[in-house]
This record gives sequence, structure tokens and C-alpha cells, in this order.
Amino acid sequence: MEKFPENSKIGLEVHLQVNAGKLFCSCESEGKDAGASFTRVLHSSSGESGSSDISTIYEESRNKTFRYLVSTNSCLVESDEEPPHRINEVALATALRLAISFSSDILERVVVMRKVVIDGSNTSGFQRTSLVSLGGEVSRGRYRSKISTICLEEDACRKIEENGNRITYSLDRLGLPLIEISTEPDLKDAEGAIEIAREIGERLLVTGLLRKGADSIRQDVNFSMGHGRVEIKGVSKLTAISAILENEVSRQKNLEEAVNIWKSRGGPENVSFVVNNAILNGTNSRMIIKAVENGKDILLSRLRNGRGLLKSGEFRIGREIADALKQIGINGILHYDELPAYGITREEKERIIEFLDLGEHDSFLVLLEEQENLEKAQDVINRRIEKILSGDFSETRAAMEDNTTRFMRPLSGSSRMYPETDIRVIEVTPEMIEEARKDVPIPLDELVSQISSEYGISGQDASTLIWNGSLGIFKKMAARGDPKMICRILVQKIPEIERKREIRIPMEHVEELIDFCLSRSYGRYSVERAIDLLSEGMSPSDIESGNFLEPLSESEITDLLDSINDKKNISAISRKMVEITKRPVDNSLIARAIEKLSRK
Amino acid sequence: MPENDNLPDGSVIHFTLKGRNLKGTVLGRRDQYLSIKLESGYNIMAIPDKITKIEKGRVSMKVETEYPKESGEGINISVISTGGTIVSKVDYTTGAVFPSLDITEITSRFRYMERSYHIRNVPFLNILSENMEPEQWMNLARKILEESRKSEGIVVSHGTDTMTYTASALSFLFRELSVPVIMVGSQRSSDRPSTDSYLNMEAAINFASTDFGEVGISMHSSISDERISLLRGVRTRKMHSSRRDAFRAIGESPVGYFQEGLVNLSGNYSKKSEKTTMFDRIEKRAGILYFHPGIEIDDLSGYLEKKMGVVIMGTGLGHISTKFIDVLKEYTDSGRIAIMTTQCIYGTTDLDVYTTGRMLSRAGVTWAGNLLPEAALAKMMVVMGNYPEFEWQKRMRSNMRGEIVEREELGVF
Repeated sequence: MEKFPENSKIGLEVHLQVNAGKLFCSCESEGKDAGASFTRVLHSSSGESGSSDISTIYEESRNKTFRYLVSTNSCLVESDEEPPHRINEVALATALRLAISFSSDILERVVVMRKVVIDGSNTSGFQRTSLVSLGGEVSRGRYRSKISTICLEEDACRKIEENGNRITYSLDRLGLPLIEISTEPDLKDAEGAIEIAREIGERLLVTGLLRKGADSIRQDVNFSMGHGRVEIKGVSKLTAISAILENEVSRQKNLEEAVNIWKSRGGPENVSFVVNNAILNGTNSRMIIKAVENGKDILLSRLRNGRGLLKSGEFRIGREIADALKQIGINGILHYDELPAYGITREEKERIIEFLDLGEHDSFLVLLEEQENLEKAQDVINRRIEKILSGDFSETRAAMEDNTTRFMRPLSGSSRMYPETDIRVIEVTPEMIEEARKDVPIPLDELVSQISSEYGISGQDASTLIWNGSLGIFKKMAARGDPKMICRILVQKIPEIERKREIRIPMEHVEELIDFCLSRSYGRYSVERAIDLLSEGMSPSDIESGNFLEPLSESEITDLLDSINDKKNISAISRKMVEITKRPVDNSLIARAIEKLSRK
Repeated sequence: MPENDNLPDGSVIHFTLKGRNLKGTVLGRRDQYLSIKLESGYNIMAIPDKITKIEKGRVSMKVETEYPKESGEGINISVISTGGTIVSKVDYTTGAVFPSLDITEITSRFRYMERSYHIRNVPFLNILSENMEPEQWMNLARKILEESRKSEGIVVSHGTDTMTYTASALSFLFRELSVPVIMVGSQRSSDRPSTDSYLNMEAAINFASTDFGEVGISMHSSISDERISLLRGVRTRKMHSSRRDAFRAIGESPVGYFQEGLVNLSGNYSKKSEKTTMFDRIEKRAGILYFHPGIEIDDLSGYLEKKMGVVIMGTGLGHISTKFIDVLKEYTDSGRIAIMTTQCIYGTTDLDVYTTGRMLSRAGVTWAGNLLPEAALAKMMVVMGNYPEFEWQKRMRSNMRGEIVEREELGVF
């Protein structure tokens, strides 16, 4: 395991999806594919200084088209065909509740901003975001971190597919409210980051307003160890933070070491490609043959003093270069360290060495790309190498499945923010804050013990109710009686049947039928029967009107026992009776009836 | 807070807010609240606890003045700007969005355009299109006439709200056109990365280099950034308040399309003439009256009093309550003109079918097929301004610029 350097600084940006419909329109949180799509291109706009923000220019140079799949929970707002509506009041109130809960100071005015993002993940080309509160603190166990800001923003589109310069997104996630909680870079290790992130996530969870779903909590991790800040985007699993950070520490250490070696040899010169399509004539390399067939040229450049640094041992500068090229849509790069390979022979490698007149420590780059992109590629490579050699590793990186990170783009500057002119400044009134104060979320473990003692249910059950998002309905139902039974239904019966039948039982139907049973003093068997019937697709009104829920009385059971010969297996008898009458049976009543019969 | 009183916009201040030290640029103030752009890029509106230090900042908060007058090489195209959202810029220091007259912002996006077109940048007005007046149609027409001597095509950038009024007015004002006149706007301003202005403008400049001899409109065909329609000015309406594809040809198909860098025209249009000639008067005393249940005779006569001509938007085939027959008869008898159009927008008027229609017809109300209300208004202003009174009715019924679709095909609705 990689040890964290003393000067490590870790900060978090935790994004929590609020399940309260979309932030700036009346669409619901969940939706399906609606079977329609449209395509767009995005342009960057130049700022006051005449230059657009560096990260947005970077995206534009990629020249992409974006296809958007329309979802049933999207409207003209998500399509960027209508101005945003007024802000979702529940989402704003939730952000205020969290702010109070973390002792963050709420601003009296919320100004909605546009943060320019032209990777297509927002149809408008910007993400709407607003600062809600400043400062605060979050702690868990022995870890403690200062909060810098709490923002309320829109979630982006969900990426479906990337195919060359064409990216497909779904509109279903676009516009969901996200509460972003950013911490100061005051954590020292991954363990602390995980604990703090967990605490932040749980604070929304306890409100019952955390959206269910794999991506409902996502975090970006800011990390530095003396080479500038690296922002790692899209860490969806908390537990991955450790591995990702450890990989990042070794990446930076190795990079640092490689840079030192390179410098000690006298450093590089600018990469300058020449075209030589004849150099690999007669090659058996499928890769080369295919590239040439596709009209690619063979571009060659010396990389002064770079031998052994691109890919050997722990050194991976080759990947740093390849990742940067990938961002402008160029994929075919090879270098000295990895050859012979890909069908390129030792002899062919020698030819390149000779052609480029390489010295003892020199390396080379082979780029399979059309000549017209030569300058663009050269420029990207030279800038990348220059940046690495400067020892400034700051940039935005993407977290990958295998817990490594890949270069994404330079860090975004503040110049990509400007006000959302379609939305008026929102006044946060003292009344709104007062209202939020009435229901401030508390830490999860406190809530668990509170619920467990108040309703006499186990801590485990209380915790499940919270994670299921069914605490709200539980409290409502439990107020009418029999909390234990209701808890059992919500925690065991319903999830079990939903899992088995792969269905979702609407909570409002459950609520209606529990109400129906409680009002008639029908017990657990009736409620369970009701859930079974719901799961078979019956409507609540049919269930209520069909006399399916009234439990069999003892005398009815005694009568029925006449027609049943085997009186040993009570649960078999019970099943039989339900089959005949379609009504619930209390097994203890069967046992009693049998006993009475035997006594006769 | 006295220390704030002399804080000019653009000042960089160090301040404390809720006990926290912050730094930002002052953008303005509303009541006691300062609007401040923080270093993170977020704007806040707050009352600082204390300002600890004021640095002088340099912030341009005004519309830029310098932009190239001409650019590129190739076919001469004049781009006349009248304002609207098509060209706007963001001042990222302040976050302010302001209109710009620099059309090269758009043309330089497409490198081939710089090689194919010599763009003359002609600032003319900088107004929102709802503030456009008939006098300005006239001035704009004169400007186009002037530019037609220097360029092979004219593009007019215009706010979308009243673009079809202006397009119709220009259509009727020009008796002959030696250049295409292409109006272009945008439904999403160009400060947004998702703006439709670049593609609409790229298409407009391409349309302006064809043999199209009418006034057209260049706007998105659908909500995708794929195809741009060339629409006949007198047959087009803004049919949606916000969508990119708001502009629709009514009762006919678009004249042509621009897609993947290529123009494809249907052939159903007047070709460019040898020269450009125009009418030079407009009669402003005309208006559009939208009929609805509950409108009173006094309302109508009050409205008609000051008008030389009125376009009525009637129901269905062109009807209004029969209680107005006498008022209208009196109106047309006095030498003024009333023309019937339909609130349905799509479809023709016909005053022969129902009794009410015949009564209106007998009362002197004119009708002209499927002439659109906005086109009817513009046509009326030009006709009244330039023809003797006895010809008005005949001219209004004649098809001057393709404003009446004589045979409406099934597929266009």
C-alpha cells in the first residue's frame, strides 16, 4: 500500500441527488426512454479578455456532436428549448436544512449562475449552480473537516455511448437537483475522506429525500501532494476512494522521479513530427497496414532524452501523452519503450532509430494520423510535456473503473461562470430559514436510536427503514397503531416480494390498504394478504370491495376443518383455507380450533 | 454602511462576511446589497460585515466599440445588424451579457466562410425587435437598397419577435430585388454555448449567395442543429415563443434548406432581378383587430376611427359577429379598407360560404385567400402608401409577392 506523503491534502465535493422532481421544471425524478432524440453542437463563447476559459476551449477543439435521447421525465427545459422555471422549493428548502445541520451560514440571496460545460453533458452548454451557504463543519469519529461551500445545482445528462466524435446522452438525469457540499482540503488520508463523505451522504439520507439509485451520491476528490491540485471526477463508490488515491500518489511519485531523470539528462526538445510513409514498407504489422489503408500518415519525431521514461518499470509518461491526445480525438501513438510490439519488429524499430538519428538516451514517438492534424497533435504533446516537466501536475482527471485516473482537461477557472439571466435572484427569507430549522437532519446513528426507542423496533430495522426511504410512510402508518407489524411489512414483506417477483408495489396503495385494515382492526395476516394481492396486480379498490381482507373467524375455521382430513400440518391447512376462501387466516386460531376439536 | 458608498463598480474588495474573509469584484448594488463576484466565479448578493481593503479593479462594463468592418475574401455579402439576441457576448469579469454588433464573432467560427465570403459588417440599429417601428422598416429598406449596390447578397440580423413583420414589410417595399435579402435571428442568444445563432447565420450567408430574389428567413428546421430552413418572409410565422424551430412556413413548404454546408432550393421562388427598386412610402394608419366574443360595437368603432385600413382576424373562414356589419359598411363606404384574415392562421378565408361571410362581403370587407395577418398589415401599409385609394381593394386581393398560396397542398399542415 502506498503511504500518503506528509504534505497530502484531500478535499471533497460530495454531490447528493435530491428526490423532489427537477430543479427548474415540473418534470419528475424518474423517467424512461421516450423514443425520440435530437442532435446539437456546442460553441464556446469568448470572454472579456478575448479568450474563453481554457477548459471550455479544450472541449471545443474536440469538435463533437451530441445526440440526446428524450426521456419521459424531460420537457422543453431539458431540451434547452424553453427558459428554466422557478426554482424547486423543496430542493432549496432541503439545501437550507442541510446547511443548518452542518452549521453553514446561509446567504440571504441565492444567485443562480451558469457554469460553462461544453462536453455536451448539459444541453444548454452550462450547468446551473448557485451558492447557498458558506462555511460549516462536518465530523465523524475522529475525523473532522471544514466545509467551504454548499451549492444547489442541476445534475447533468447521463452518458449512454461515445462513438468517435458523437456522444449520446439521456435527458433523464438532466436537471435533477444536486446539493454539492465542498470541504476544505484539510483531510490527510483516504480513510478520513471516506468517513467524511459517508457522513455527508447520510445527512441527506435521513431526510428521506435522497434519490434511490447507484449514482445518487457521487464525489469528486481534490488531492494534492505538492504538485498542484488534481481534481478527480466521478468517484461513485466511496470505498474506491482509497485505491484511487493510492494510485494517484504513486502516479505522481513516479512522474516526479521520471521528470528528475529526464532533467538530469538535459531534458527534452520540442517534439517535431516529420512524415515518412515509406519507413515501414513491407511491414507485417496489422496495425500499421490498417492505419495506412485508412489514409493515416506515419508521423515520426525524436523525443530527446526520453528513453525508458514513457513505459518501463513504474514510469508511464507515454500514457500521459496518449491521454492528452485522446482528448482531441487522436488515438494512434506508439513509442520507443513499447517496441518491438504490435507486429513491428526489432529491425523496423532500428530503422526508425536510424532515421531519426537517436542518441543514447533518446526516445521516439510514432503517430498514425492524417498529416493535416500534425500541428494540432504536436502542440498538444509539447504542452503536455512542458506541463509535466514544470512539476505542476494540477488538472482535472476522471476516475476509471479500475481505480486509476485519466487526464480529462485542465482545471476549470472561475471565468467560466456568469449569471443565469433567465432566473431572478432568489431571496432566502427569515421565514424560509425558520421553516427549515423545524426539521434539521441529525446524524444517521442518532436518528436510528431515536426511531428504535420511540417505536420499539430494532436498530437494524430502523436503519433499513431509513435506507429504503420508507421512514416517512412508516411514521405516518405507525401513528395509527402497531408499529412493529408495519415495520415488518415495510422492511421484510414488501422488499422480499418485490425482489421475488421483480415488481414495484406503489407505496400509496400500501398506505391505503394498511389504513383499511387498521380501521377495521384487521391484523398482520390481513395486511400481508393485502400485499400479496397487490403484488398479483389487483387494485386497492378491488381488494377492499371483494372481502379479501377480513380474517377467518374461529367458527369459520372450525367449519372449514370438517372438509380437511390431514390436521397435522398447520401451515398446509392455512394455505388450503386461503385457497378456498381467498381470505387471511391466523394460524394460531387454526391450532386452537384443532385443539378444541380434539378435546371434544 | 458608509464605507460602501463610494465603491465604484469593478472595485476589487477584501471583505468579511459572516466572519469569513473573502475577496471579490463589486459588480453593482441593489438597496444595501452589494453584488460581488467571488474568486470562485460565484456571484453573491450580500451585505459585507466589513470591507478591509479596496483595490482598484479594471472592469469593462460597457458595450464594445471596436470590431472589424470587413473580413474574409470571396463573394460580397452585407450583414446588416438591427439588434436582438443573435449577437451577444458575456463579460466574464462581471457576468454581464450585452448585445454586440461584431458579426465576425460568428463568421470566423466557420473557416471556410472566411475563404468564400467577403463579409461587410453594417451596423444599423441596436434595438430589441419589439421596439421596431414602420419608419425603421422604410429606413432599413433604404439601407438594403444602398448595400445591394455593393454586395451580391444581404443578410439582416433581427430580433425574432417581430421578424416576420419586418420580413413582410421589406417584401412589399421592394418591387424588384437584385440580391437575396435573408433575415436571420436566434432563439438562444450567442452567449450560450448551445446558441442557434451560428448555424442560422452560416445558413443565411449561404442563402444570400444564391439566385433567390425575395426576402427570406433563415432559421432552424427542427430542434436539432442539423438543417436550416429558408422560409418566404410573407408566408412565415413565429409559432412558438421559445423553440429553435419556432419559425414555420404556413400553408407551403420552406423554399429550401441548408444542411452540411450545402444549400438546396426548391425552385419555387422569384429569381433575382437586374436591379433593385422600391416603394418609398408607408401609410402607418393601419392595424390588426383580433375579434373575440364580448367585443362591443364601441370598441370596434373606437379602434377604427383613427385607421385608414384594418386587418381583421376573424374566426374560422373569416367571420365576426353580425352586429358589426353596419359599422364596417360605414367604414368601407368612407373610402377606407378592411381585410379579413383568420385566427386559425392555417387555411384560407372565404366570405362566400356562410351568410355572415356574405354579409361582410357586402359590407365591403375584402378577403384574400390565406393571406397571413402580419403580411396583410405590412401589405396594407405599403399599398395604401403607394397606390390611389380606388386601387387598394384590388391590390390587396392580388398576389404581389407570393403572400397568397393559391393551391394549398395536403402535406403542409
